[in-house]
Amino acid sequence: MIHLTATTKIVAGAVALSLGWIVLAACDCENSDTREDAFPGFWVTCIDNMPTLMTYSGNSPTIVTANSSGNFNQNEYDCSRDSSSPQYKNSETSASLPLGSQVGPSLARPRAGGGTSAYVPEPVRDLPFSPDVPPLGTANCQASFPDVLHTNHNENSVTRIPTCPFGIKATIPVFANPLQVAVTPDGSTALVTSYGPLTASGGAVTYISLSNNQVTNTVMMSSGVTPNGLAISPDGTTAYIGNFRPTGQSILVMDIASQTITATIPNVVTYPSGLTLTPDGSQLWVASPVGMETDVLDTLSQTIVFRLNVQQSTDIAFNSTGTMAYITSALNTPGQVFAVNTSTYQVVNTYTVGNTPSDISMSYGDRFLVVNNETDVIVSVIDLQQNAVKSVQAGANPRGIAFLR
Amino acid sequence: MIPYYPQPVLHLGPFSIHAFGVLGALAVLVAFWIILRRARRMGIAMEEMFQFLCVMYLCGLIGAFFAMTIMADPHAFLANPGRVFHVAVGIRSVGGLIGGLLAGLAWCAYHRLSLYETLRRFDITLYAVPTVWMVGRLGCALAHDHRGLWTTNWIAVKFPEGSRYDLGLIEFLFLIGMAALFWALDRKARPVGFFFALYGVLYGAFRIWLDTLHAEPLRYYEGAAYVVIGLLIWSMVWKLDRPRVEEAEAMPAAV
Repeated sequence: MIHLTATTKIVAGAVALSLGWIVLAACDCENSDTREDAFPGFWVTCIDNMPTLMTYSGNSPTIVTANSSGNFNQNEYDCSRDSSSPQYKNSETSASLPLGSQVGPSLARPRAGGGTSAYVPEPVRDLPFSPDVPPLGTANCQASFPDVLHTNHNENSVTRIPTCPFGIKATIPVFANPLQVAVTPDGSTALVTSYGPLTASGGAVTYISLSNNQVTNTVMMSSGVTPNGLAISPDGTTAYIGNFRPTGQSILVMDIASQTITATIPNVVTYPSGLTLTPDGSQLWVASPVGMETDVLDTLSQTIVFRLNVQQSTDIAFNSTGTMAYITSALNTPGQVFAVNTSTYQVVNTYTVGNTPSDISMSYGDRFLVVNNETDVIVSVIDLQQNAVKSVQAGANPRGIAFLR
Repeated sequence: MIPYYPQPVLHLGPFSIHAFGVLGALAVLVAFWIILRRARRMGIAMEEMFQFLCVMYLCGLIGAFFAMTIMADPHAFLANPGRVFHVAVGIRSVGGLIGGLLAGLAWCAYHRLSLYETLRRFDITLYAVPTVWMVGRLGCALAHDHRGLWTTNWIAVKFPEGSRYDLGLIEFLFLIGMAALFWALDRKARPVGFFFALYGVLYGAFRIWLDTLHAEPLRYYEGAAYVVIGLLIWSMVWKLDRPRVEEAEAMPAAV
């Protein structure tokens, strides 16, 4: 007969109870994020071509309602154009989100596994999924045409250029050796990455107010962090910045509002340079002018999901639906632009441009691709409808292109 | 590549018993069995060791639970600390480590045990941990809840969303080797604290490496915590063991 003290009996009972709890209640251990945790809130999908409000219950997608209910108005969505992805009809008016507020990490659009259902999380569903086509009858030159921001790497400045008519609206001094520029979706702010002194003692990210073309803040990086590539999330909250290093290279994730680095994604391709988000913000494509690959990152998990065999890539542009990516490569002379199907990651077309293409941008209803060619000092314009490439002379060291909407 | 199998679940009326839960409970029972057996061999009173173990286990469980709830969403916790009592999101091993160690130290202090005796009890406990952890991690491997980076490596698991590392599986395989190593090392007498220190250093270094395969932002601090504790104990092993060695060496002369 074993004699146990009262204390021992109590703790033994507690242990027995805990074992029961473990067996009956535990279905997971640490990091037990369900899809409900990862994608809280609601999204709209097309089921039988009808906009349907969905949510996650654990890991299971669950229909909330297939009818208009509460804040969910089926008439705001269009399943007729794409049976797998509803279009939010008010997308071009930047409507406020009718179902609620930002839900943290759900900035990315989960990849659908095929079939008739796709996921458009609430925060990103008002993106312009349809091409940004100018209205019919638009004159060749209007004052409403967008301005262009251009970094002057050697002059430590950014130039604002109206496109119609061409000219210089403003020249804005920024931190040493600016490389890339991007504009927030609301058009209020431009961010500029600066490599900084050539000793790699640390670069900066400069905030420019586009209402008055003035620098509002310069966020200095720590020593050894040399910003180059730059991309801004479609909701305007996050900037992705390439730390242009031979080793210890990374992608810095910056909260635009608080102007702080919130995460660092390591082990990306060496010298990350051209950072471009897919239109829905779910993926970040990372190019490198000396790298042996082009990386595709998932913005939600902040991990690499695919490494494309496109070497010495310098920049990437997408069509507005995100189905095609265009990657500039300086591997060959003259340089090339590879058209890549984003579903299969296969190269479907190749365009020859000038020597050492450095930047690429899509404009005007998915028709034109504009490419800076650094060595040739020319700008190539690829007409995707005509399948033709034209070139125009540019100023010294053309670097950085951004269109203002 | 390794095929993906969903976690086995047994449905019994209103209850669903998951493989993870069963293996978690089994791990606890294995722990008690190994540790109590070892304690008896080392001449420590069984009931005393049982109490020590229960206190460490229960506090470790509470620590793991709180750590997960707090670390899963620190902002939500700071806004409403009371959520730890009504939000169950899982358990986190680093919380278990801290909770268990603190409780074990408190228990030893309460019973006025010397540093040597305290370390002896921890050493007996930590000797069993690779085996116990191995059983628990098998549950993780079956639950597939430690999804790592996407890869086409031979050890990748073909998850429904694509092939990627299953970190629970990798850790399970590592712990098989570690448990075997401990068993082999135990065939010879070791200074007190030896297994505690070795566990901290080996497992911590492994966790630091494993974090490089993690899909989430890196958190080297967990592995580093193990290494630091291991090194700390290692220094104590030397200090505690040296007088005993010198004493033993001096004994023939004294005789």
